[in-house]
Amino acid sequence: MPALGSLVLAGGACDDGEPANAALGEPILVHGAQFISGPLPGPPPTDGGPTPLGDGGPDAGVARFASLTVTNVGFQSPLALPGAAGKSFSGRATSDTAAIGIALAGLGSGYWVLPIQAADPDFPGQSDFTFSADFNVNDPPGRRQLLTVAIDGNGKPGTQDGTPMCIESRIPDNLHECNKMNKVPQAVFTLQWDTNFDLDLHVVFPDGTDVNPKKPSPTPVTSNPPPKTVPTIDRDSLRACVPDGLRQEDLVFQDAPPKGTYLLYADPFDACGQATVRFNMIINEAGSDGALHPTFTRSGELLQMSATGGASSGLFVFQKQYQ
Amino acid sequence: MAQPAEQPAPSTRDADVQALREEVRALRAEVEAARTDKKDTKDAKDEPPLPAPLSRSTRPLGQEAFWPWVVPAPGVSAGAYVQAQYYWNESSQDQLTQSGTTLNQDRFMIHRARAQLVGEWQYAAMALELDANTNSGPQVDLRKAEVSLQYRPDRVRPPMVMATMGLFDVPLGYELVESPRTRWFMDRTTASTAWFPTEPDLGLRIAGALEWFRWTIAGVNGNPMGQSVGFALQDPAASKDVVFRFGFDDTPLPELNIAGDVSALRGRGFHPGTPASKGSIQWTDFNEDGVIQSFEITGVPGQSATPSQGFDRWAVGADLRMHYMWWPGVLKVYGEIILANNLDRGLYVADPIVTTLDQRELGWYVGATQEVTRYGIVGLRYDLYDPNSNVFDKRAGQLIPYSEAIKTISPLVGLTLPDRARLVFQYDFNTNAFARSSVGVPTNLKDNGWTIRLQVQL
Repeated sequence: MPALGSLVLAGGACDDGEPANAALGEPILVHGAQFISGPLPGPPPTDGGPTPLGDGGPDAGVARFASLTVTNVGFQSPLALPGAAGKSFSGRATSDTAAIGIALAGLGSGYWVLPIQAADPDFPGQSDFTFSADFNVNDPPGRRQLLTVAIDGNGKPGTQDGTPMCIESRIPDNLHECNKMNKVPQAVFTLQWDTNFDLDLHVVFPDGTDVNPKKPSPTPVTSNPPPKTVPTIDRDSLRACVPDGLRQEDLVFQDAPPKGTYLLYADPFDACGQATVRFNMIINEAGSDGALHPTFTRSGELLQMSATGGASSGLFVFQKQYQ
Repeated sequence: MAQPAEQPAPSTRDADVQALREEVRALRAEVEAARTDKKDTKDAKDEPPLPAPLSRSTRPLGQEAFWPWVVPAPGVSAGAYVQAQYYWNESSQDQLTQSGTTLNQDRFMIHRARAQLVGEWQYAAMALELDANTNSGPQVDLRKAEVSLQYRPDRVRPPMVMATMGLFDVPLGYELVESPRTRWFMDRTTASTAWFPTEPDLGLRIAGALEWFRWTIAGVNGNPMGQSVGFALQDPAASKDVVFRFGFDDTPLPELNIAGDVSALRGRGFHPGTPASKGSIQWTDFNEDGVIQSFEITGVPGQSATPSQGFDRWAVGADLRMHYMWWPGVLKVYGEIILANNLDRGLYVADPIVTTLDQRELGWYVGATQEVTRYGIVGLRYDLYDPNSNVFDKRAGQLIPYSEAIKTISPLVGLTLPDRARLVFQYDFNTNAFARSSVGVPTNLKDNGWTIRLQVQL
């Protein structure tokens, strides 16, 4: 019986380990990494970032850094769209690093850990790391720091490194959230929905023109990209039922919309096997503070049996009058 | 003058007569009672015997014979049982996987609801078992469909030789053939469920019993029901898996039964080929600006079909078990070890065609259950499954060997109404290497779970 007791106690020790957490609600999701709850370890980044130590010894000409330092973080673009998948990052850390911790500053409930890779032959004393990350569709837009930290085999962290990047707004705003000098569009009509249902935004202009993803602007467009003065629908989401993760279409007016009445429709083009879809029709307009603000929202639900296949403009949702 | 012998007084004589009468009356009552008992016993013997699996008298030491060693009641008999349970696991999350399946495991379910029909005649036998469950949503399937020809000269003993064709439990080791109705632990061990997601497969089985000696030779398709990839209960390749099982089953003392086997499997796995594909265009947003540019467009030429291939797989194992009756009840101690190669079809699915590395697998367990009178049970089982002894982790540019072994310690406690109902609680302490620690080293993913199950049977 003592042996049985020992086995049970040994089983109790099995409780050690990491809890399961798909972390799908976190602001950033790093592929192949382990999510750990709690703040990113290590002191916050210094203003100047990692700086090489003085040299002059036998390593003259080779930059040397303090131990456990993330020496470089690189990516193709500092911009990330909420809901974007597979954005690539790469970097280096001093070779005493065992793992890299990753987080978005000020967001989320934890951080990600992945093992460091091989030593970089071009940068003696440093090892590489690469990862790809997804961004949560609900990430708040604005400038953020991507925090990384080098962690040694005993769990001791170095100083965090902060790399500036920007989360774009889901509503097309000419990157105003990333650069306040950029002027926002005067109005954006947005249709958002919740399932992989091919829903289309239809806007009937005052002259009767039906603008939709199959005819994305009221006048023929011959240039690429279309001139900004022409109101344009930005995408055909779920086209041919291919999921894009966005489930959103926007009609963007860079200038004030021409006077008249606009009729807004949600067209259930193809159910794509879904039973229902719930949607929000949102009108965003430029405010006096120079930013876009939602000024009208209406929700609705459509059923599989409502699918039109493009035979009509779909469900009338709202009419907007511009004086 | 001689005096006549003293005669007892009339009153004394009457008393003696009365006493004798009483004695005769009592003896008559005793004889009548004995006759009645004898008649009752005879009547009882005249009743048709209960089906073997339901009668404790046929398994005085608690063990239930498994197919093909079951000795069913003559003619047609039926049985059924339902296992309803609640399961909780600490790795549950209220999320969906990428493929849309649930990550939540905390739920009520019908784990097994089975109905069995058995036919037993002089030279022929059949067994049919249907299963319904809600393990992955509601489903009903066939678990046993055996038809047999047999030679069973002694009707209370297993057949001397029996040839069976149909859907039967693969006779490799002990866990696969142990009845889930009488097994106290909730399920088979991790290794067994990885190698055989469900017990039955289609094939031909020849088996026999001679005194204590047991032998089984089977050829099966090699695609058991429930495997996560492939062709369950079909066979994309002509070759069959061959299974051998030789062992003993003896009761050297009235209170002791011991049994054991060695078994082996040899067969071919199947690596499916791929169909031909048409050419396509692929866009990769290299500069992550969301705009298609010419250098980001790649042509993907059409691909020719690739052929299917086969690979060798095998397993060898041994099992041993003992039932011992002592004052608290029956003690069962048992264990099993199996070494396998490329046999995993349910967890770390083996396919060495691309990697050219065989997947060497090891699984073993030891367990014990103890009846506490006829109304209680306690048990403990430890099992280990190492799905690949060649596995490496890549850290800091180096390949570092590590163990993917999954270990489980399962204590259980239960109450039972003999041969009718049982209420069992089992906790599983699981240890694995599914997570990484805060320094990036493989570590345990918290995955402990418990089950409470109520089973009622006909």
